[in-house]
Amino acid sequence: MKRRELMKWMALSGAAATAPGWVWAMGEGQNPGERLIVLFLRGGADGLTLAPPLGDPAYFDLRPTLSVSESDALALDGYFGLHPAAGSIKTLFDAGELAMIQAAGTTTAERSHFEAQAIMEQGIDPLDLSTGDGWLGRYLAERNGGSPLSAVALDVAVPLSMAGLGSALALGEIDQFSLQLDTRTRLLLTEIYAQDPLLEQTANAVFDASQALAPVQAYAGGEGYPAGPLGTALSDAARLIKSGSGLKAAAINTGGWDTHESQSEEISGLIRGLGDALLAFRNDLGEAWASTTVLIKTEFGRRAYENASLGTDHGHGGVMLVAGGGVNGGQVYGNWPGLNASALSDGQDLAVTTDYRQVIAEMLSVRFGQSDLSNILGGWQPGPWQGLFSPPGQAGSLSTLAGPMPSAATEQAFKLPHQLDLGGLERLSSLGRRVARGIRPVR
Amino acid sequence: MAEPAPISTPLRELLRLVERTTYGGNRQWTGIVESLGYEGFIDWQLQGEAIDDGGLEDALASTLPTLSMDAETLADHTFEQGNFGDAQRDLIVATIIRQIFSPRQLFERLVEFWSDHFNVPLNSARSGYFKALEDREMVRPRALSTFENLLMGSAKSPAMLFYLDNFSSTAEGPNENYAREMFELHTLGVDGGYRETDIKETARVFTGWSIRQPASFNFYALAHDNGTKTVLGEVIEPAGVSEGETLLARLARHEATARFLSTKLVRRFVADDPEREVVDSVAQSFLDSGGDIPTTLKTLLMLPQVRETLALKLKRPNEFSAAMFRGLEIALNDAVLTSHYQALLAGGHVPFSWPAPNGYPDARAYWQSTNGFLMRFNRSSELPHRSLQSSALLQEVAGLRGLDEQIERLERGLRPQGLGAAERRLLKRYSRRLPAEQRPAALASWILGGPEAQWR
Repeated sequence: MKRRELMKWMALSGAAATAPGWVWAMGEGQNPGERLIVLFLRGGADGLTLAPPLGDPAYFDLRPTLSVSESDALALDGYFGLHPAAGSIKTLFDAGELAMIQAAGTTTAERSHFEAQAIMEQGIDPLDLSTGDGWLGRYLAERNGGSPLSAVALDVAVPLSMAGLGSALALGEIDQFSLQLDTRTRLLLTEIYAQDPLLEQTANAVFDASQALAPVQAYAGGEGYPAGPLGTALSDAARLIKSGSGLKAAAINTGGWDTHESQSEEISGLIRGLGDALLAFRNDLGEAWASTTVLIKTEFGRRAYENASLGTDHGHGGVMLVAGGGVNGGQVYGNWPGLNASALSDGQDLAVTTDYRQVIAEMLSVRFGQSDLSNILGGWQPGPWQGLFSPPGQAGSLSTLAGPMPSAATEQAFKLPHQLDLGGLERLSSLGRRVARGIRPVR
Repeated sequence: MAEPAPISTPLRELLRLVERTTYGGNRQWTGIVESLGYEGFIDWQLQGEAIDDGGLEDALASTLPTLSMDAETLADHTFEQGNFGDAQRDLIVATIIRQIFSPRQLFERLVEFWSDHFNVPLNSARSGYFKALEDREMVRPRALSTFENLLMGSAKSPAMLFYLDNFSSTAEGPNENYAREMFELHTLGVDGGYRETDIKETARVFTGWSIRQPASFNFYALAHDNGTKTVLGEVIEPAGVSEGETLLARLARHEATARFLSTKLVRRFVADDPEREVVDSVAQSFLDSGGDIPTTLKTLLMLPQVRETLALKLKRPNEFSAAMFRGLEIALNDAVLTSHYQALLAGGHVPFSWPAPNGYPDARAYWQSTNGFLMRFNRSSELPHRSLQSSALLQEVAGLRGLDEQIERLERGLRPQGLGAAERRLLKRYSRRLPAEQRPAALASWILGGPEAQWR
């Protein structure tokens, strides 16, 4: 019985509501391996604030008001410090489970968000080499199969990095992913969508995913995550992993890093939220953390010098983070090019000394056993490994880490309500019909 | 029973015109386009706010208080009295209602187009405040004017000045954010031939362009960089605020801008991958008319290639959901608003809520997701059952006895282009064993949830 036939049988027999674990464990059994979480910080995160180069005197000259002072910074490795809101990142770093790669990014200095993101998501450089699909999608396509939940975006859409894998799912929030159709309607839609070759696969994926998610939804979310979309997405990723859904890779986006103005106010919450969500995820996963890798990237770093708005404009070299049980953490990797005028890219930005693909290549090779990278990285040849990762099975046992420190919420953001407040709107009733009656087209 | 005779080509074009220029057809709008004809319909809809709206705007203004508050009153209401979120709610509700119910359908489509093009999300108390005012005072009054008018309005709009940070840009450390996005997203497009130095120089041009409280444009001469600048190879002599005004006027008429805007318009109204010849014609019209939007749009809609192009656009979530309400001829009520808002929330398409400056995507590659189709299936299966009383179409269908008559009546309302043979067979097969009283809602939900209803 093929998977889709199995689904149909389950739909017909009503087996969906009690989908047995073995159905989804099949893929898991064939490939017990590693899970990858790709987290994209949209907007261009300021690596010089997240991990300030305290040992570089030029840093303080370029950032007279925005620099993190030595006394405020959390200690990291003696040369670099950490932003004071990065306590949870420091916890992971000190446990040896998180590493940073400074001065990383695209080789081409591309300062448009949308172009730089397109480069990084496609696994190319420069943009002229566009393929239309993503490095993650090409990697997953090479090892496709197993669970319908093997590749998911915890977002409303599949990001470009995952494009190229027809079966990648966009799940939004897992608890909201609930198909509310009677059996008759579901069967009719299945038949009717078979008439549309462009939409058929998506329709079937909705049916497959809603079935496959039932046991995941039954799995309660973990604790300690910060409120908000990033915490929810990582909590959902943990549920996918812990429930044995067969997840191989999840893509997550988190925004707000485009700090052109009042950067200090904005970035504290972002850094704290990132670190707290990561640490909660790590503690939530338990032993599964040993076989999980989180790759964190951003489209570019920010301008080395600050602007008059107490912010920073688009720059070049940035920071990447990797975390997981197989990461050789507790180190800042990459050659530091320095912030002296002569060392700056185009005289204004941190230079890039580690191509972002170098980190992806080492990760896929060492952690995921992907020896042939030529298709995934468009023929680009990586350099020698930096020693970021240990192969699976070689990590020591995991220690217990304290969870994120509680902090007061300071944001005054507007979040879309789940329900519209309709108070006072009853007066609008039947307005539509009145308006429709009044339509009198005049030439 | 014999298949109905194929409809004539002109009617097919008329119906496609309605699908492209409105938030979805229904029996009333089929009748209107048949009586006005192709060009007559366009001319009528291009009258925009001159079209009698049957009292819609008055009703909205009297129900949604922040819609008509002046800047000072709204500032007091929002920040002094602490009513955060009111401006956002009223703007979202008004936008939803206008899109579904306003007779000024093409006008509302253009408001949406410009709201995406000059995207400002209402994701904080301050940006919600500014955006509400911008929508009323800048975007809507200028949606059918000239592009230059919109570009200038956007550059001086407190919402944009705040969102892209230009309000705090001074000579000592120009903020490049607005200059960069203005080139890339508002005018020339990313391949439009500008360079990093042009962005830096342009940022200097706009130093001092800021906000006077509570919400008006002000040029602070003291913050302005009074040096000479060079943008796109032309020297700009120091001239205060007119440096920026002259530059925007020049960019609004630039050939790259014409191409960029025309490509986006064709993409919005016709197909994800615009044909080169179509873009050429539209761009020429844009240039010849000085960026006149009605002229450009009419050229686009009248092009033979456009008239002949099939329904290639996957409806975006708001189009999909609004079209269901319009097709079913549902009267406005609380359930309509709640249901439509749920669809937008689940589909990731609530008005003014895309966080990045490029606006909501306009491509099938983005919207054709499992998350999106989950929403489409759930909403289409639920709505007809919930609106048996409020849908004029379903009320009529419930009064018909035979299955063929019921399908035929639904077809006229929801799919005047005609059901496909296979779709018709399936509808009949699946409804045969349903009790008669359950058929109208079930049939409607299947038609609205099916693949044909996803395209326009």
